[in-house]
Amino acid sequence: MVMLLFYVGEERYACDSGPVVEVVPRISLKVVAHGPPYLAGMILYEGFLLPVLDFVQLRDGRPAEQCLSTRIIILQKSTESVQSAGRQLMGMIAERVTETIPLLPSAFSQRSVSFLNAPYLTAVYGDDQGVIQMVDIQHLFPVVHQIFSEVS
Amino acid sequence: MFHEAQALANRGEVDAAMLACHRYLSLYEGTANIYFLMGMLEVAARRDPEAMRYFQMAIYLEPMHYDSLVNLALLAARRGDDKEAQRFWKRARKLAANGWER
Repeated sequence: MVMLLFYVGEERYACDSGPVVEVVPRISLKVVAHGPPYLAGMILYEGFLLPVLDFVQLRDGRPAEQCLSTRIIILQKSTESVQSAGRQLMGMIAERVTETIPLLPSAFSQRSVSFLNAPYLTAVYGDDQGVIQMVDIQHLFPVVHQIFSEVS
Repeated sequence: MFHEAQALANRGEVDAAMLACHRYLSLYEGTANIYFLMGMLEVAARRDPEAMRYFQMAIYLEPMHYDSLVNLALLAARRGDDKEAQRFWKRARKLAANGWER
């Protein structure tokens, strides 16, 4: 079982590869006016208009770097049924999305963390290069849904 | 012996782990898991073409080897081949759609 590794600057993050549907280049991202800065925009993905969260903006307060390894990770809410019509997808922009690491999510239990302002950070794992922060994808969905529910 | 290689890999001893893998292959038939491990070691050593070959061996032996498919997708994207990357993601996704537990 691998985890997807990604960066914000020099900080390393990882998430379970289960909810990852695909990693796509940052093409056809449509900007949405008046959204919060961490809402990078929307993309049309397989016929669905998906909100795209800029994880770099969320963590670092700056837009993600414009380069090839900055990519949109297409994520799926819960891993139940991939093909059901009601599945919820979102995109997340992160930097250097090019690697996996061979760790089970349980290996991250070395230190559980909980931050009031960042409920999606659930654990940290240490190796000789420093710390990798574990992102619980399911906690990112409320962040984008909040933006849209405010108007509906 | 596979576990020895895996333990070395987990400790970050890439060269020693690779040697253990080759020792394993000199004694036993290759499996998807040993080739996957070798792929990950090549990734760690920043040797993408070699990594790709090992992941391909893994999915040749076990076409449903999810972790290898994900890595092949990322390697393809890294060399700028987004079409190929998409193909591997699709294959990986199909596994999930068929109710395969990850």
